[in-house]
Amino acid sequence: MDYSPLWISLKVSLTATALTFFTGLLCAKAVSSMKRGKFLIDAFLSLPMVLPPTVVGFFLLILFGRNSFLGNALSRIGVRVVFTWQGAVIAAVVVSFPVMYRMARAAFEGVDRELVDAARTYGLSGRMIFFKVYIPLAWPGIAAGTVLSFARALGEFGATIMLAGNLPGRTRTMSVAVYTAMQSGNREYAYQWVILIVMISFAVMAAANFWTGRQYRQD
Amino acid sequence: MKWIRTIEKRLWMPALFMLLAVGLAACGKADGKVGADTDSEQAFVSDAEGASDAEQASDAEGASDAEQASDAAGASDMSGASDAVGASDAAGATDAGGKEGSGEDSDTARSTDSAEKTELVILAAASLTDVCEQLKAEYEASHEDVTLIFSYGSSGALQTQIEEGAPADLFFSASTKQMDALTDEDLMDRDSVTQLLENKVVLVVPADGTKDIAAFEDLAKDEVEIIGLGDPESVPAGQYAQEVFTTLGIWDAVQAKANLGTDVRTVLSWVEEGEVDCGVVYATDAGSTDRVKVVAQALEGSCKKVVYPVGITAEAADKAEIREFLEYLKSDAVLNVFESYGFSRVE
Repeated sequence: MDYSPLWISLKVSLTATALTFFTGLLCAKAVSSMKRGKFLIDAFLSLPMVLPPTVVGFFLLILFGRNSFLGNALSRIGVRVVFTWQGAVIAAVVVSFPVMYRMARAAFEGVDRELVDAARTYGLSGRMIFFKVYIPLAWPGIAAGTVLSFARALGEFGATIMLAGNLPGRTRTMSVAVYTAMQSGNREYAYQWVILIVMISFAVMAAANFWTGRQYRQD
Repeated sequence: MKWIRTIEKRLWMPALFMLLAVGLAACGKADGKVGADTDSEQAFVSDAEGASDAEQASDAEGASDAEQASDAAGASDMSGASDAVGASDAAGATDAGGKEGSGEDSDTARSTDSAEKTELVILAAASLTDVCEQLKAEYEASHEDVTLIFSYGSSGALQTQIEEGAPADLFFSASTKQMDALTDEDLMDRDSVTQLLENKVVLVVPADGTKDIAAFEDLAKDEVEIIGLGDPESVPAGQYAQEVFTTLGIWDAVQAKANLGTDVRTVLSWVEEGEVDCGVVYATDAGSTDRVKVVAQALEGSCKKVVYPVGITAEAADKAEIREFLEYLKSDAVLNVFESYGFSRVE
């Protein structure tokens, strides 16, 4: 059995999670401290979560295709996104970002205002408050968001196949492998990948629950 | 044992990722050792190297994180740790970027590079996956200077990809509709477009089915209670089925008993499981499983022909290698291979 879809999936979703972790945190903090227009920005950032992934993929394909300004500019400097694993990372980042962002935002907004005010009276700068008050207090939510966005990136299919294609050994992730196997009537192969996906997702979620459960007990 | 609790509380995420990443690197390397004969695998290996590079970054991330946290030895000092994470991550990112840049040739989907191999990108309908994989192996064995890169998807998605400028040399569609649309947009090399294969519309029953079904006309009988069809609104196989039944004048009776699937493979699964008494699918679907029995084939003229056209894209019109591959697809030996998968030649 050719295991390349597994490595490609892990490579893509790990890279994507690393990117969503930081962008999600920054956006969540920025939005939760906004005063006006919050609901508009929030709706915009959450959009990829509710749009069908194929629509997201279609949009990304238009954005990065050679007919667009951005795609054209990128191909001039030798960067290719369409049909590469980097393209799969972009697709995974876009669909998993809202998960991270929303979880982190909820966690930040759940932080006790009085603790923040207390920190301010002690003269801590905004940056210090972020790292010393917000991050530690919101950590369980952030951690859960990271795991969920990893799981979302791992299961990503619609946008990936549109932007990164279905190139065996290059951009064929596990989800895409299942699709291909089903479409070509290769059931056993499809079942093997389904079992593997279920096992990995289950392990990740179980590990996350285990650790967050422990954290709460200790606190 | 305070440090253990610190790790538990703060560092389980990086630790988890480190574990995954290390596993990935180890396995990626092992995989690379096993098989590096074909070019696509080599490409994968170089990809894996890129990945392990990224992992080193994440390793570094975890490590510096651990150091900082144990230095601080307290719950509150996260600022230093997070800074370190950010910094090492940024470094890792630029590092990975550099790697990608240098590994560009092997990484991108198409390039006639110094490795002397010509890469041809072929977009093929998902129903052609198995037969194309077989042809790829055969063709590459006899043409060592060519690497065939297939990407599979629904014909509609492939059409969109070509329209949006995805790199593609050859388009192998499951329907003339998409090919005609691309030809009209001048995205295909008009003269190269060929109607290569035909698929037949067939009526299948479960292999162990007990109902007396021998022809399309039998579906109007009361004995037949439920019929699996692709949804005529969106599934081509369903549209063909509707045409057949309309020609026979029994569409109303059939529609009343129809269970509509979102794609033809769903219909096939229903028949395999015996959830429906019979279903209408393509000959290639029926040939992929021995759990269904073909009882009838749609008569010539009772519905539109199901044709698989193939053609060279406009941007690849000057490539000699792709013309050679197209000629190969049209050859007698290859058409025999297609026939073994249930396709028919276009008369």
